Amino acid sequence: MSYTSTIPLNENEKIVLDAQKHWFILAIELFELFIAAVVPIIVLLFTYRLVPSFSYIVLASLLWLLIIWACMFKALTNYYLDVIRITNLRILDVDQKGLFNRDIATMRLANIQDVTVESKGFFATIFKYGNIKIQSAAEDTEFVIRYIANPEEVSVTLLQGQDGEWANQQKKSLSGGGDR
Amino acid sequence: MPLEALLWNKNTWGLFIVLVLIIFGLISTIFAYHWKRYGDDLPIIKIGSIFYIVGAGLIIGAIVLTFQTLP
Repeated sequence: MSYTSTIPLNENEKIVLDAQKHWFILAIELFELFIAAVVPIIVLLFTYRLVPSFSYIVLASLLWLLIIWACMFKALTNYYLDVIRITNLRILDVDQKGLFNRDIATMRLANIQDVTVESKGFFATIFKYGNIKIQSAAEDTEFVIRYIANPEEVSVTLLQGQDGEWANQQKKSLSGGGDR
Repeated sequence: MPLEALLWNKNTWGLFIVLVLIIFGLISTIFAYHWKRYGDDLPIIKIGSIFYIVGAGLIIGAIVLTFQTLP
């Protein structure tokens, strides 16, 4: 699935969960584009007396629609290529910011110290989306996944995965496997 | 040529359309690359790309037809 599929998994690594931003975030963006498409056309229609031919207004509106059409598909591309993959060993966050701008962040589950779920506002509560803040043990940096759908479920999966890895590590150290 | 005459001139609009279409073509090529490279296994992107081409074709067709009606 998207950029995450280009990142090779380790031999013992298994995909636990693939998550995306909530659909409501895409809906807001598309609604904004709809307003951006309609408002200038309405303004142009009211100013048609200033233009020598109505065809100019139609042409300007169509050119504007073509730009909005491209912007709409840019928003869709960003949305669908923006994914979070949780495996039994690590978490991958692909943040598609534009067609030539993306961040791919990786964190090992073993390095997770603290997971915080943040769901602010009316729509976030109603539609169940929010931010997940992951505090790393190794570094003083925070890993933030924004506007994710069902953040509680994702955080539970993360913690379960982390617990599983701790259990595996304990097994290894008990059987003389030592630290990885 | 005064600004107003330049603004309501068919040739000016023709050049503007060509410029917009070149930029749109470049953006579409970038989309095609992204969809092919990273979204090949996503059904929504496969369907979306067909919608994109059909929609863009209709709008560009309407632009060409409207351009021909300019005085």
